[in-house]
Amino acid sequence: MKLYEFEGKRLLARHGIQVPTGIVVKAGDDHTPEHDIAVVKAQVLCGGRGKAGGIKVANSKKQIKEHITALQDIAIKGEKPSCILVEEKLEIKKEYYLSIAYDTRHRTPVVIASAQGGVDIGDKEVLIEPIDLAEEFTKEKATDILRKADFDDAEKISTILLHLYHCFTTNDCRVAEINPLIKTRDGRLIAADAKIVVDDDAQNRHPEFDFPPRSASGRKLTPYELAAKQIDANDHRGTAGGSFYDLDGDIAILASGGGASLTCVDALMGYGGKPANYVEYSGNPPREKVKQLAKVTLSKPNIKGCWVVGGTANFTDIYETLGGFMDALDELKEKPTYPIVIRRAGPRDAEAFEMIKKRAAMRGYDITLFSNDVPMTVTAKTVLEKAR
Amino acid sequence: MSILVDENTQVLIQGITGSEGSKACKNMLAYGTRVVAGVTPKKGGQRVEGVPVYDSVRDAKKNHDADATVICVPAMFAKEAIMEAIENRIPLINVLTEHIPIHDTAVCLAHARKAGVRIVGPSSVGIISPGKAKLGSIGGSGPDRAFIKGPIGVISKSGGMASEISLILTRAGLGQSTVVGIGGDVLIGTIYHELLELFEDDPETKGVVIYGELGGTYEEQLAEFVKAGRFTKPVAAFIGGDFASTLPEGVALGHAGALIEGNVGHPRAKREALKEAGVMIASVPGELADLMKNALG
Repeated sequence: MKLYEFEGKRLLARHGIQVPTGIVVKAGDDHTPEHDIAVVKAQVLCGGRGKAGGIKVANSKKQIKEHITALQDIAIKGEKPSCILVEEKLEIKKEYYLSIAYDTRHRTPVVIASAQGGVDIGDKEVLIEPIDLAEEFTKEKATDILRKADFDDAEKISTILLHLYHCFTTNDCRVAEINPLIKTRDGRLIAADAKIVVDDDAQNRHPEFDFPPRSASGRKLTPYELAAKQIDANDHRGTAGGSFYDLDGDIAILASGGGASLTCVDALMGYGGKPANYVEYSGNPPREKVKQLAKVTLSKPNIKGCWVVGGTANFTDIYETLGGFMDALDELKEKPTYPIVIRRAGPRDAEAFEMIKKRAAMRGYDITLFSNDVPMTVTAKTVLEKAR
Repeated sequence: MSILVDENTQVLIQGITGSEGSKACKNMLAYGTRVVAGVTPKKGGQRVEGVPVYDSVRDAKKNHDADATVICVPAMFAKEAIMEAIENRIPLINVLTEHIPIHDTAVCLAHARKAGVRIVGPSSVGIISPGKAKLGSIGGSGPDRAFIKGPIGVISKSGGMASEISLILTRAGLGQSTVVGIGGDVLIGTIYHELLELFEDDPETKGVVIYGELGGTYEEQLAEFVKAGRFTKPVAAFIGGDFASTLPEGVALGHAGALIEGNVGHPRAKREALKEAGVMIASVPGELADLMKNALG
């Protein structure tokens, strides 16, 4: 989960890193500015906020209020700000870049450092230095890294890097980035921005986190996404719903397996099809979870076809999971009249296919069944032809 | 011989008394794998499918030799179990557990590197050398449906695609030497080219088929390895995830590692790098068997 700047800064401050004094203004708050000069920042999750007009400098109390109102109404790359952060304006002497993130080339966390921070860091030269988690990360190591990256004040800034490292590890961060880290004219070192991503897989050892649910891009979750995510949140056996992503096509998809789902959606789109959603269930989820997920997926309006697709399961019980799907069909408010194409194989699949044939005949569903003698990507064509 | 596992490999199962662990145990034994012992803290003295259970890896090792261990413990206890295997120098640690916090994985990888032991996974479906032995859930209770003995090595980030691709090969008359589910997490213990090193020296393996997908750099590292001439047998790859790369940055679909970050992780770039290195690229998984057949002549 990506944190808003103000949430990230609170984590940094808790770990001894100085951040600008500021206040969070929510919609409906009556904010009375204390100072005449301030930076007013829209709280969004997407990048490139400054260039998109999401940060404004105010030179009077009146202007602060104007900027707050203006930023509350804008959308940055389609994202409405969650709130507004009003902060002291810093007198900048120098800007640095400092972050810690996981790196697939080293397969460790790495420190990414540049003595020239600020916007467009992607175009600048940065130092990438792996951290060995089998050893202690010491002040000496931190200092060495910063010297190597040509920081002028390596000794002093190494304390901040050390704090950042502790923030990264104790909060199970995926990314902890300060850009820019500012040296002010009066010699203070202050994190002027924070980009922090925490690990969703470590959430249950952080009961202290109270961050409201959100999508990775800052896009508000749709009702279908919220409902689907709830299925996984309520029951941890297998996954069914956590990955639901709402799209605007007309082919409802219930895919199985991380890799197979990606492969199949690629194939469907390759044939000109438009998915109504992406979702993947796997890890042998119980029948009930698949039923709930199918109900959410098929409750979307304007569905012209449904594609239940997966490879050859290793341990997911096909009878139980497809049984859950059939249960959902029976419970839908409107009986599905659109074609349903199922391509699946794995444990108990022969039994499952018998059961589906029987129930489809009884209830009059239009279901086409394929086992693994037909390549799964080919069945994308079948569902599109039947849906036309 | 085969890489990683064969009929002589002596295997531990950590988490053997859990539902996934006992199921894996049953299926591994049925396939002929030498499961010598299981480990579950405080359950020492029990038996699962006739296999003796110990409180710790150390206790198990007092009575048995172990060449490999399969980890099927819940995510929050996985680090402890893996570290125990590392400390006891089990040479191959196959981690099936999904959703392990990335920091825990990174700590385990760092220690495994120092100890000189290999981790395959996390989120691995397992490893199978058809006709010889298997580790983990791969193939479920009926591996013969998809996997037959033969000359092709298979490496896949996805468990389902490992089976699907093997089935495609099997139907085309191409059996497999060893099939490895490496897992789709951001950080994994063994990546494509590290297995190519083993397949290069395996006389039974004549070619290798890869399932890759968006996210990270492991496919690019594979391309670099092949391009440098360090693997001399034919390689064919299918790379999934074009659809996912059209979504906003940071959205991970399917697997934890399947996400675009900045310019890193695009499937198109992976295909280009692999093609340039001489790897054959399939546009759908079904093409992999034909590509490999043509290459083998």
